[in-house]
Amino acid sequence: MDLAAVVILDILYSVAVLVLISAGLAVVFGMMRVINLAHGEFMMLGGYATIVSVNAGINVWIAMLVVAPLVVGAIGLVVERLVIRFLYGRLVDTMLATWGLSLFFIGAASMVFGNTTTGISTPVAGFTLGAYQINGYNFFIIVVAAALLVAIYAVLRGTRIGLVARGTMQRPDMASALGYSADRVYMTTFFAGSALAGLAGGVMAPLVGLVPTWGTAYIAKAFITVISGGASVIVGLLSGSVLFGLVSQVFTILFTPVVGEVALLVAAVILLRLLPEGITGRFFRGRL
Amino acid sequence: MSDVVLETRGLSMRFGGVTAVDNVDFRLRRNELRCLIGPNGAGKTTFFRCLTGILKPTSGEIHIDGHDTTGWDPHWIARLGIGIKTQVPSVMDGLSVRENIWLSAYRVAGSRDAGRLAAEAIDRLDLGTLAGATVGRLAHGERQRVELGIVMAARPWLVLLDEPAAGMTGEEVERMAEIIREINRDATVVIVEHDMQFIRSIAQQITVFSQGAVLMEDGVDAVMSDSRVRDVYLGRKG
Amino acid sequence: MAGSQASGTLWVLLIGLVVMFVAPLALETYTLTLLVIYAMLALSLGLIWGYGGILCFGQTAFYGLGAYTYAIAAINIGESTVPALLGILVPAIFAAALGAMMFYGRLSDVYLGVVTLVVTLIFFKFMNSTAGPEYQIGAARLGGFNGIPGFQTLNVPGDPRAYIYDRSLYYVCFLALLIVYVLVRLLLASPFGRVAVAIRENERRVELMGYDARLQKTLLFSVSGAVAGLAGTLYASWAEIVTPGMFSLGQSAEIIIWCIVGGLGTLVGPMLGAVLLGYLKFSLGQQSAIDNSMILGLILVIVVLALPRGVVPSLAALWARRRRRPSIRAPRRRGRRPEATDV
Repeated sequence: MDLAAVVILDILYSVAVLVLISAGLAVVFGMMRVINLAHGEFMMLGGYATIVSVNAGINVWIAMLVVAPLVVGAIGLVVERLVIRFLYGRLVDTMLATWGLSLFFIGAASMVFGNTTTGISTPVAGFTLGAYQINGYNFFIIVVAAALLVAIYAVLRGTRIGLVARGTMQRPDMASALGYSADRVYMTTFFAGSALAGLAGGVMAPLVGLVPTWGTAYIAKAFITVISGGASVIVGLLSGSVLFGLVSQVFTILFTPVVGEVALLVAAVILLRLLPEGITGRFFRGRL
Repeated sequence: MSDVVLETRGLSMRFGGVTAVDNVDFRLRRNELRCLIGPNGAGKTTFFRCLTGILKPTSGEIHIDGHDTTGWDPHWIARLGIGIKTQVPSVMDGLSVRENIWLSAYRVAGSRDAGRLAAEAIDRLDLGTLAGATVGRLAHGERQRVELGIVMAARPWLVLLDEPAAGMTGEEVERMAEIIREINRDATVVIVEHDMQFIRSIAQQITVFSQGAVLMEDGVDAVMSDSRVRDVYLGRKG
Repeated sequence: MAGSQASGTLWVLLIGLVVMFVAPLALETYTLTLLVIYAMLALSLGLIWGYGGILCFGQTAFYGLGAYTYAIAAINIGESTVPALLGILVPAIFAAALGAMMFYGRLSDVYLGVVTLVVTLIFFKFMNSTAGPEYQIGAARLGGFNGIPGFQTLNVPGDPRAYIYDRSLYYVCFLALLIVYVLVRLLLASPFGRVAVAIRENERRVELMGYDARLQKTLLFSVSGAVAGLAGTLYASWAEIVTPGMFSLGQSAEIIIWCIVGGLGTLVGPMLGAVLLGYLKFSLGQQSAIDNSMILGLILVIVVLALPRGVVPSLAALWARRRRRPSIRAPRRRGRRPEATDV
């Protein structure tokens, strides 16, 4: 019984991590058809923003939930103005340019922070469930991921900004005809996507030893989750995360973490072979 | 042997809840020149795409020259000796006119005769002055002609054309009609068309599509004077 | 048209031969050999990306696979001829299988990118986890993160003790590059190559002509895998060790950067891109003031923004315009120019 609860918690946690690391990428890809390969580095910058703020004496919750998203969002804004906005509609070129940005940020972070591992301790205590020790912070990650999904949905569905954003993504010409600047919508969306990446980096920072190349470990997974999910922001994100989270965690429990990772990748290849347009391209067409 | 070269039985194509082609029985005899007409959304282009293998029909059968081609890929259908021209000019923009046409000739004739066949097609379509030009730089009507050249260079015995006159000037349309009549001298031709003027000038036998089904099939004059045909074109429900 | 291409190939060949003999005067052959191997790797991607329109994010999969195949076979056989052939053949077969799976599944651009990237990652993760003694092929232990050292490097065929190394390895690599270049040029000039380019331009049209585009793409992909595998084989012999790092994302990114900087749609472009950026990386490695991935990243961003066609095609266009200008001006000076459409 306890074991079942622990296993379920583990699976939920691995789904939640995928949601968290992919959310920013999903927003940007789903709304703008831009694949930001510097997403992992945005997370890495969010992590450093958190650690630097904590070391400077800022409360850890504020550092990860407020400072990290704002700092990375601001960086994203600069990137959008300087690079991305010239490349809209050129999917492959944006991928290449953002790959360049990714290398750039890795290099920059190595120069500023050095190649040594830094970290902070997790702010949540663990607890025991029967005979098992549970990491309390994992719980927190699950909560953040769930809140994130609800928040994205609420913004897109329930607010004027969300409506304008959805409209612009479908018909940029119509939206500008109605007086909304597509340029500004793209800018805002990219800011939001970057901020989400910063949040993910901030929240994950206490769990890992941070190095400048940390983001590269996640970009592939996030990329796979988003592409396999397909173009719908929320349904795609959720279905991709659930599927891959489940597969990798089950294989990790049965074998080793490496087998779990490889299983995730193999699952992605098989999935794309069967559903070349991603999950939502086939089953949830036209949803959010 | 019968001279029916193309036949569909109960051909249907559904997209989700929409039935674009509904249980169509269609027969085409050798050396016919058949026009498929109908208002927008009547299903003629979908029907055409099923014939060419671009779409796989939901149900029904397609027989071409004695082969059951239902569900075949486009390249297998083309290899039966069928020339296909799609709605939007589909050409290789980065290559020259000659290269475009040569590739088509090479597939059927191999490298020894490809040059000659290509040159012939270029001649027949009067593309000689453009032969070295990059196709992407040509005007729409010229691109249509290049695609027709691609189709003809392979010496097909059955030619399927989707809106060959679309977007052309009056003069170009006349020229196109001439070319098609010439093709028809030794090949069977099916044309999906919109332009009534054009149809009047070339058609013999017409099949009228409406809401995915065949409304009627008859000679030009009979079709043109039929009140039902006029109704579907004007959008009246009869 | 075909004639000018043939003479172009001859020029490249001639210049290549001159460079082959002159370059060792300026640089150590040890470094040069690596640059030549990089050029071959870039050529393999330039072929499928520039001419086949297939963007492969995982060219390193074939590169690394070639190197590992060579290393494992060399340990087991002890003579380099068969291992070198296997180092080409195994990646070619693997590329054919992977290509068939993707192209028959009708995967397109981004999804193609994901699958190739993921396959590379699978190799990377798997090879990193093979430290245990149970991962052994014949006498060769895969060695996990540390890779496989100590295998037989290239030797004169038939004589395992006549090692080809240092300067002679450099010449072997350079000649191999020139041979591969000529073979690829011949392939592109053949009907197969022309169909491949036609598929890049318009796949549907090519299918409607009766060609099987999926088969054509799979074969082209396999050829590219073979070239990358050869590059990997030569690398293994140069480095005398193979490690999972050959499969890394950073390595994949570099190949793409070489191609995009050098220019797609040419074969010389990617090769030059590889040599220039490879050399830049090497010289940046000598200093520690500026991190070199930062510079590489910056170069990639700038090239995508400012020279989307890459350096070589942009220069070629500039050169062509320069040369053409007098011939356009000339008739104007003589009087009114007739309606010329043949320019």
